[in-house]
Amino acid sequence: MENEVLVSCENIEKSFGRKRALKEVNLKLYSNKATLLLGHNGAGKTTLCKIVALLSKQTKGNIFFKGKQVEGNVRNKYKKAIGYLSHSTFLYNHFTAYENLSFFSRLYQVKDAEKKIESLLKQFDILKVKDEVVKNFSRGMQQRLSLSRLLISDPMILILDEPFTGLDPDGIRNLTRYLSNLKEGRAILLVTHEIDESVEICDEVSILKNGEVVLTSEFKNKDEVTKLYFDVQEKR
Amino acid sequence: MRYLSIIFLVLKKELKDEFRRKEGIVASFFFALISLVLFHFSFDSGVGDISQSGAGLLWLIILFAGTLFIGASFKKEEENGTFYALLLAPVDRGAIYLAKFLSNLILLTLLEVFLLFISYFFLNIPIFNSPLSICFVFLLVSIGFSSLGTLISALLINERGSAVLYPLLLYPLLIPLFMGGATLTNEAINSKDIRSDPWLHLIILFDILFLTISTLLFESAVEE
Repeated sequence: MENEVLVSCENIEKSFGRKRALKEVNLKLYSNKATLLLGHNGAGKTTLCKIVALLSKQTKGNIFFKGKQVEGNVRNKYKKAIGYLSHSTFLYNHFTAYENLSFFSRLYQVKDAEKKIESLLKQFDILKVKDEVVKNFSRGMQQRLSLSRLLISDPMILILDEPFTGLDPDGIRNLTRYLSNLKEGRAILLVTHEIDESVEICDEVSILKNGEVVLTSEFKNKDEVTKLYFDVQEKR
Repeated sequence: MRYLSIIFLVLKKELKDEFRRKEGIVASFFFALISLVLFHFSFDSGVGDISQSGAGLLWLIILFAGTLFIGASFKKEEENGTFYALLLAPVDRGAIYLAKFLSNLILLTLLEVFLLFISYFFLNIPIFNSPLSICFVFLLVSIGFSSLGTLISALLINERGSAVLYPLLLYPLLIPLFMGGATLTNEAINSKDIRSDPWLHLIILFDILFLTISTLLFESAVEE
């Protein structure tokens, strides 16, 4: 499958007061490819995810979407193409599963929304509870509904910031299975400390250390990722 | 059209969410009722003259009771990170602000209608002397309160200690608005013509200024 560069971050810097959280970060996300972003706590992973998703503004540097700088009209197209999943579910607790998906489908102007909602609820095995309020759902069910919310607009760039947090082993296994099937036609950026699961989804790894991307490499298995990660941590 | 439909969509979501949660509304209506009951007994025991201070008391109750839900209008979006979900959407963020503003304005209006009727019976404030003028003043002050209150609620969403910071930032800015509101309400109660009153012009200016600035600034105000 061809790998087109969907997102290109060039020389991204982010400062909070005097603290430089990101230093000249360059990152490319390709279609049909998933990138695992590793780094110690406070390395700048979530900050980078938020900048890529336009939730936070970089101090310096540019983001390009399919070769065009993300500004003006491109900004709206880019926002339509972005899907963001984190350990927060981004769901309204007092709304039912159906109401949540219906609200987000209208926000994203999804065509044939009703059919799509039904199909996603079925796919993620929550159709039976579609009229129950989210606050009564288990963590696993909430994360499955959150995944449905993510996919309702059919985004081509998925930013997944620690999506496994708080899930039990079954939930992690199911989410890994779902995410593995999402790569086709999409670019994925996955931030997690669950290396076992992430190697099943990802094709390459980028390692952030103290706000800098110090290594980007393809890998074959979990051991290779672990070795790369610890080699980087021990250097410098 | 898209802008208006987004405002309507988010407004509908806001009101539905607020009425299902009930926390903000119940707390503010209960606070308003208890305050009126306490004032009723204070004036009954001869502490002061209600006809002179009734308007001021009403606005004081509205300020505190309104803060209970306006201050939480963005804070509640922290739950499950729904604030980010709204920001991620490919829509003009100004429309999200306006929807929140309108939602707060509607809730504030409901609170004021409730307060005015109760105060008519409890405190004998003669609100029916010039009902149109009173409605007009209440609407104008509510627009200013809601526009500024909503913006500051958004500004403080990721701040620690926002419960303390919110009134500290908001109340000083609201002083001219509420002073004007109390003066004009008093005049309306006493059947005076408020059309040429400078307070009215100040309140209108305040509304236009803060609603415009807030809508335009919202995009950059919420970006980290």
